Amino acid sequence: MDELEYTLIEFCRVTRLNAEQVRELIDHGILEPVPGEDQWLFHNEHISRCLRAERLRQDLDLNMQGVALALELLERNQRLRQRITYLEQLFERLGNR
Amino acid sequence: MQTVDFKDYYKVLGIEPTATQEEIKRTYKKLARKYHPDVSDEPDAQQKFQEVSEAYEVLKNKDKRAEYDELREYVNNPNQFKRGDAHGQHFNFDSDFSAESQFEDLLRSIFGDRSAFGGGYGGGQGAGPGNASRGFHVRGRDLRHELQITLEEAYAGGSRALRIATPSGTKTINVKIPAGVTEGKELRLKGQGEPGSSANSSGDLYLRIGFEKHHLFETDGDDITLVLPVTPWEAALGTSIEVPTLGGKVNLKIPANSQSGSRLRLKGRGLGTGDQFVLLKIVNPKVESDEQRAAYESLQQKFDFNPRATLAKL
Repeated sequence: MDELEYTLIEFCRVTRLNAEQVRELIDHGILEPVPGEDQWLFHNEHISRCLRAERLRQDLDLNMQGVALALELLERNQRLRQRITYLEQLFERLGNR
Repeated sequence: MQTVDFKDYYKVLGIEPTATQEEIKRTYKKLARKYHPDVSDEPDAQQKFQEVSEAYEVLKNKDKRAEYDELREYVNNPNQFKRGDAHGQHFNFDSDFSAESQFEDLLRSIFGDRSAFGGGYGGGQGAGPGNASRGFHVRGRDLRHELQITLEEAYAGGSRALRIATPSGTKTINVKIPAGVTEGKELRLKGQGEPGSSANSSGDLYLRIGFEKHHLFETDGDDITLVLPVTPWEAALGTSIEVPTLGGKVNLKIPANSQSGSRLRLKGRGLGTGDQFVLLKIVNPKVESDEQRAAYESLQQKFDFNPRATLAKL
């Protein structure tokens, strides 16, 4: 997969957040950019996570700790769901087919 | 100018028009959690969320709510508002009066003159209420779509011509699918969102990858699994079987004494750096002749075997 790298400035432009907001996401462990030589580097995948965090914060009036918790639970939920679907499908294929 | 149909925001929130401000707020918060597109399972969550957000934006402010209530009253009972009746405080209900245009003015006074006028107010797409006026160059909104691809496309990568609806008609864009992409990943297409205030300020398009059902494989992240039917003697004696993978057929060694449900691994044959797993499913042939019956009976005599030994220990 192409793992485009963004500097903080580029990342802010893409996500429409200011540096302060991005820093806050990093402080709460919501974003974990790669420590580059003299600055952080962000990947494509950080963008969706960051936008999702910002939507949750703004739309549901959550504080950062709430956003972090919501994201973790949502992601865990999604992994479990995918896993269930996968196992159900396998179970079906192992049956009378 | 596109006109906006009048909406009953009380119905949208499912509350009485006499609801208190506190009730409105409480109901909105509850519905926002229920329909938030990042949280909700409802198929039309995005649309519902936009509707309740829009309703709340109008009703949360007492003055705007009063204006809205007056309009709503007029829409429901137009005959009560005779010309010159000076009933309304905010509107001049004369012969040129149009509830739609007044409604539109009210929305404009709350949401500003959005580029996406008529295309939905309220947040959800990253541009929440009030965001549009930030800065001089207003970036267009980001768009999100699902993109269903085949497992073969995900494995090998490729490109897709995608037709998407925009405010100015449909456009076709070419989407490059990176090899090894997994389900749920988002592809970002720079500048393919809604247009902004200048040439360079279009929003982005995010495509969420979904997989079409495959006739052979199931996926789990970057791993794929194939259920492989084998005969009882292949499983017992061991053999080599040609099995399909996304990269073509390979020979797989089935070890002797394999059981139904045994899982064998083909390293690096999944998506990207993932693996392919092969799950054995032992299939008994049906007995259709005396000779075949004798073969099974001979097995019965030659094995002193109880597969339910563990059950007997109860």
